[in-house]
Amino acid sequence: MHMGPHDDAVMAKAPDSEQGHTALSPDDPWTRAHTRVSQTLPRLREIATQVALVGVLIIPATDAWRVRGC
Amino acid sequence: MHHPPVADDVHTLVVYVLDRSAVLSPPAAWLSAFEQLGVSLGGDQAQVQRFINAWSRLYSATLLLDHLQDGDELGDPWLAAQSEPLQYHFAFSAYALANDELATLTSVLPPARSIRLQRLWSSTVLQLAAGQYRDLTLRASALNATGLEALDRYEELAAQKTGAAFALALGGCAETATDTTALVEAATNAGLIIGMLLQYYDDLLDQSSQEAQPETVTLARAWAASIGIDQAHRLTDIWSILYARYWNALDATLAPLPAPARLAISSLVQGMFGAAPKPITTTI
Repeated sequence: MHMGPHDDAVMAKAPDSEQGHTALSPDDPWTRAHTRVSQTLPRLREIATQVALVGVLIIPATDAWRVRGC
Repeated sequence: MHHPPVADDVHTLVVYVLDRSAVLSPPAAWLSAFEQLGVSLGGDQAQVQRFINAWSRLYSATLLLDHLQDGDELGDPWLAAQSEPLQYHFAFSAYALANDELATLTSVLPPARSIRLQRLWSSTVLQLAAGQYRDLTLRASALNATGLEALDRYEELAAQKTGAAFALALGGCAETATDTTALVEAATNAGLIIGMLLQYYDDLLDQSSQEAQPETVTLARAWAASIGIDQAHRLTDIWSILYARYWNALDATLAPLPAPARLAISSLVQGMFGAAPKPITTTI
């Protein structure tokens, strides 16, 4: 396949095969939503770490929360 | 002599195939909630419905593509019997229909609102494509050496793959209805959270079908790669705690919306995932 003069630049911006990142401007609607939600949601790694450290899961029962795994 | 079908026949056939597949069509309860959201924000019902039609075609297109790539059931014997190239072509055709519905809608919206809706559409669809790319290239066996990063990668996949679809659904209904940025952003952000929850929910409760795809990255596999899963940490327990934590974030995100819009979204969430989780009152 012919590689034109701009193809190097295109390849440099290609998404990483592991990450699937795309370059977006800060005022892109997705970027705004993703940034805002990332500030609001607890990270999965934080939740999992808490579970691993404490060694229990707090889960809802019918009328109250109960602790399992102690 | 064989004649290729004319354009109108293709259109009719694609609509027919998509609409009769229960697997490829979004649940009616979702669409009803989306409409309630848009109308509660002052939207014209016909315009909100037009956006929902566009989103439904997009949903079918991406779901068909995902099913074909994963080798899943297509939910329609006729479609399942077609050649693989034609099946992929139906996915492209579904997206063409979605784009046509969107163009019809944006031609009657106020110009500035039309531009914002098209930007939201293209931005989130790009993320859908990126999420599917990540889903096809990330391998579960490669997660084991990454520790907690496995959950980061899975979280990002969930945001792009399903979160973006629901960010568009709710945000698009709001964008169709109003020029108030705070309302549109609240709906978009809520959709992103709901979509991520749906990915977690499907992953955790659909273990049997995923056993046939051992390299697919799922929440259970990312969790296991990060901290391990033992008998004390059942998948349903993991779901319960995630639902409770995300519900709190969703509740805060919905605050700018009027009460009928909040009700539409909270009813949608409870219809998808069950009753609202109870607040944590017991400490360890």
